[in-house]
Amino acid sequence: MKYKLLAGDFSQQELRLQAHEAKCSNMLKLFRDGVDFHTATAAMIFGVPMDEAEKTQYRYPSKVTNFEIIYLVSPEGLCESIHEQALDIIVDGKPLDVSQWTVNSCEDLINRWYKVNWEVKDWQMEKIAEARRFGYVKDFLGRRRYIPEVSCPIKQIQEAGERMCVNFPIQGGCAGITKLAMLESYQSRNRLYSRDDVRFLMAIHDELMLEVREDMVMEIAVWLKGIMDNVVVLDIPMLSEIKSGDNWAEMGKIKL
Amino acid sequence: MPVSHYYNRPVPVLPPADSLPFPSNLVRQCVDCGLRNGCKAPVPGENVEPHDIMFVGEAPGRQEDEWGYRPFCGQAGQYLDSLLFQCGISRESVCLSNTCHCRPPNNRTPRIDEIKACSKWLDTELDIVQPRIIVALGKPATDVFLPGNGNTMEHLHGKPVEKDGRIILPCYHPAFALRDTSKMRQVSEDFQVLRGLVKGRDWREYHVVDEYPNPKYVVVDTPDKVKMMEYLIEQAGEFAIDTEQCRGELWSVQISCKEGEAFFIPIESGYQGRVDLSHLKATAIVHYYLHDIQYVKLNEANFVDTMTQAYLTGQSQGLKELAHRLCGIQMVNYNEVVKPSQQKLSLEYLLKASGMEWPDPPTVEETKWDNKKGCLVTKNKKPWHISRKINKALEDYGKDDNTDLWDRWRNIPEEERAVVEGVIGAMPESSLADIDFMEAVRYGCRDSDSTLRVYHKLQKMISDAELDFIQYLDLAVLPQVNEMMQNGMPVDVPYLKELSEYYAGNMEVAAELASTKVGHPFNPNSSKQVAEVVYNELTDEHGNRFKPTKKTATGLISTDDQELKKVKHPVIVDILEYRRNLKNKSTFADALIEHAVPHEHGGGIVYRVHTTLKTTRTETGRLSSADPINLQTMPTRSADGKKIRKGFKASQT
Repeated sequence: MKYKLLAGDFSQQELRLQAHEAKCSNMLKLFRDGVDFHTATAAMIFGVPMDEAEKTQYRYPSKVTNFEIIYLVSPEGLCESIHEQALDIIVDGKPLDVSQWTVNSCEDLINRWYKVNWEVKDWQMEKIAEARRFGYVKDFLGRRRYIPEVSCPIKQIQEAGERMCVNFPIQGGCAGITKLAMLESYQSRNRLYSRDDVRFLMAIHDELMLEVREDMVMEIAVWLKGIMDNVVVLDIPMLSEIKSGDNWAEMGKIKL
Repeated sequence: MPVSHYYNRPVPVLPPADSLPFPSNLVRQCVDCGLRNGCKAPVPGENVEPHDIMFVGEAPGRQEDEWGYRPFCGQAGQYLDSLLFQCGISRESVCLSNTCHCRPPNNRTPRIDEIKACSKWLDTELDIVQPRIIVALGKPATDVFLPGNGNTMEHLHGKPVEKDGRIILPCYHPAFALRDTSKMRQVSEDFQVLRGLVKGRDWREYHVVDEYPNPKYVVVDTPDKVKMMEYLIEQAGEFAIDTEQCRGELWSVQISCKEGEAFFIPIESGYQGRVDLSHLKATAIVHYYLHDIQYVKLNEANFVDTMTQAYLTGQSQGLKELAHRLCGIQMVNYNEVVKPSQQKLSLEYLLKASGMEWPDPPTVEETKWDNKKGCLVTKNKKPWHISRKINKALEDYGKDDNTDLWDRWRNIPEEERAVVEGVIGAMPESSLADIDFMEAVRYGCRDSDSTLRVYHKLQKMISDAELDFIQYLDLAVLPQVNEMMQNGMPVDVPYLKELSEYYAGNMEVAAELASTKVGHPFNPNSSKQVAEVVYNELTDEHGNRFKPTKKTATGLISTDDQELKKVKHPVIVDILEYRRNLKNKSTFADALIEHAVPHEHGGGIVYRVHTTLKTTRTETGRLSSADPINLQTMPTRSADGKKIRKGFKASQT
């Protein structure tokens, strides 16, 4: 019997949860409209029309900012990330030119981002205050993380603590959603399929990895997407993507 | 927050010794141990006058040494001040001192002889201060006041003990908590204990006593007794279960369904083969489900894992620490229990080996950087003959019975041991089966008894912190995680071997390029040689040497990637390239090949790698994997990530 690897991963899980947690009207609207989130953010930050914002020079920095802002990134940190990740992006045979992104312009970028999604800034301040008051922060499923670092007089430790306060409710929540998906799929598999036809291999961040019989790939893809898309009820749906292939590097998206 | 009036200030002038009060003036002139040579000045205690509380730390650090007259004036002091502030205690109202008054080189832990030489000053200070409460910060200070206890700080911290009319409160050292910030929560809690003590609460209130000093442990060795026991389990509605293995096989099961009692079921006479308890309606309680489930079958929908509970409530996860801290149970170490019988087996083995003839060990070529000549030197080194090593161990054992022969044998490099092991086999490992049966019963039953008692305490903490749902979630995924571990990841071994060779080739090229650019061969894998080359030989375009900016924890020049990237020289690219390829080769490709296990399936052979998954290691609740590789930290988007991921291939048969 031949098998195939089948993986389901939540697309933009962290950003979606951030939008839900902060009740950020702009982010929620973008996700509900179903537009490309990074392009739309670029259009707003840089004040350019959507088809212009699709260009890498606009979309790329806004994409990096989107992912880094949930770590309470500093201008220096953002600048470093933009330069580092640009090496993997090849435009016209050369790595992307990001020389315009200095610490100063990155600071400006962060400020613009917060101006568009101002609820996120408020939410982040709230979380830090919560940790100072109670000693811990919680994610939406109730998992706690104690962060005494925010009350430490040493500046670097305190700042690291503040990043944890902001980041934990998102990362912890995402891990919780993945665990819920694991649990649902396990119980459903035990009812419907044999342990040998659908094998659970691993859960990596927002991805569930399975090994399934080749002739069952389509059936299992539909089954897994059904479970993953409905695992939690948030202000916006948590959507998943199903991929399949012979090895982990060459996984093709399955259109359902 | 307290006003910081002395941190990050310029170093003040050292006041002359005779301007200080007694005994500080004498401490400053002390030359009684070797530490005095390496430090600027001994640091006497602060506020040495009658006080209620005295803090005793380890030894001065860099900042304290520079200041020369004030303990705890660096970052750790700053943190200590904020902790005192949170308890409503002012620094002026406590005495602060150290077990050692001089700074040890590179901030190493002071040695016992150094602490002994300094104890007269600490005793003098204690005589003057006459404290009611002594807070011992860190292990060395705790050992001074509570000598001869075999416990670690994880056991002891935050538990006050009365000794010679004084209350001793062991606590993690603030400097340790600054390095490992996950300990900060415990430190804060310990200072709350101090606050309680200061407010007049009795120290016994913080002290948990073993409620069942004479537990009842019963051996269940017939099928009838097993039936009887299962009836009692159902009556109780819950049971803690623990297993013991001998040489990789299940040897006994211990079950507790009432605090202070336990059943010991030897596998041979009680249960035959794999133990199946999934028919029981009572809740099963285990410590580390993913381990015990390999030997025992339990109901997947009705169990509790105390390790998960400890993880969720932020306690230490070891059963011994939990039992000690929550229930006051002092548990014995497994190695302690089997040590006498192990010693006997080791002695027999080594005597047998020493009576035989062994070939000479091969000479080892060692390439070293010679500081005087300024180049690499290859020397032929001949290790000690194996018989000489064995005889030395036996000789030491003749002088001192406590010489751990098992340790001595294990410390001999594996390739040298292999000569002996190839002929007379590996040194036999002692197990519970070799010791007195009743002692094994006591040791095993203690585990299940502790698990049950710890569970009752943790259960309350879970519901107090409203963690019931997250506990349900973390427990419910465990059977699935177990399945993932058993399934393993399917790997493509021929492809991985190709990949390993590809990386080896890249390494060779990078090393060659680096050597040409420097002008002589060197080992890019040795951080010492890299530091020598980069900071002592290379120059920038103006002919200036590069300055190292960071040191490692052990005081050597740091050559991590971040540091090297600051150096603007063409050879750096090659060193980094070499390291990247080495990392990909050793931590991914080679590790996967080494741990691939063949499985027969559908007529063909499929290789799978079974990593050890854990659910209690991350702060965020994600899974983590280790042994051999952490799949969670694998590079994702980069070209290397793609190459490694290609090694995971669905089984084709």
